[in-house]
Amino acid sequence: MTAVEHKKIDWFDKNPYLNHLGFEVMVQDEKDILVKLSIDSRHLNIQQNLHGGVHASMLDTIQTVALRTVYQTNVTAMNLNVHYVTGINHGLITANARIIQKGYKIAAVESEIIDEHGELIAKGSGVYKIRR
Amino acid sequence: MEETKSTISSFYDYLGFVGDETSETGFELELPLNPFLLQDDGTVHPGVFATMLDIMMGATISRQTDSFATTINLNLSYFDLEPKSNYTAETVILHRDGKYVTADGVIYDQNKKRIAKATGSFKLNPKNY
Repeated sequence: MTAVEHKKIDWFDKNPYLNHLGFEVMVQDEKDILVKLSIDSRHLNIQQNLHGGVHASMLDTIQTVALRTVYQTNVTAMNLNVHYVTGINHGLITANARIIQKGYKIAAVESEIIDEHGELIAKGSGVYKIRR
Repeated sequence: MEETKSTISSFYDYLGFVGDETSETGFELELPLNPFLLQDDGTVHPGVFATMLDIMMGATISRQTDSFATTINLNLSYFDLEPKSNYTAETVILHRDGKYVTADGVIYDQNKKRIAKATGSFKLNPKNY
């Protein structure tokens, strides 16, 4: 059995905020893109749960990666809606996204974050402007 | 899932928030523009503003209800992601129904131009449970 080869996304590695938070991206093709995060103490709030800003950042990131991969151009977030479903404070979480409206200038995406056991941690959706 | 009491948390510190001031009338939060808040195209990552609004709303609700506030939902609108020198945020509590609170938050730049807005739903938890 051979290991699955993942494509690199150059802009992702050059993004200071994504590096600062520790996000990693794994791409096989347009429909199989994941953003992963290994939760550590810097990601937590005072109640020692994953900070809500991390969920929002991760959902926006996977939605942006999905759109930039399809459109091959940059996008700008106009709206993001986040549902916080399950609290978490350690382990590996994974985000995936699905484009639900692919317009010429506007696109809509939905996304989710799950933990290592497949439990839903957060659900997101957003509207983005396509920069042409 | 937002903290409430003093907004001092690991993630708060990690993004570089300052100006955590307590007053009788409200809560003030500032964010200096650090290079690690930017994206590869030079704009501010939307997650930064989501974080700022979540912190701000959670802290304000906590202060006014003397409870921890756990975020249930955040609906964010972004108006300008170009970097500014400084950001401030304001919160208004819109409604309370028992353990559930709805609030609005707005981020302004140094010229008081509106940068982002959020409406959030929060659940209150007693601080001593």
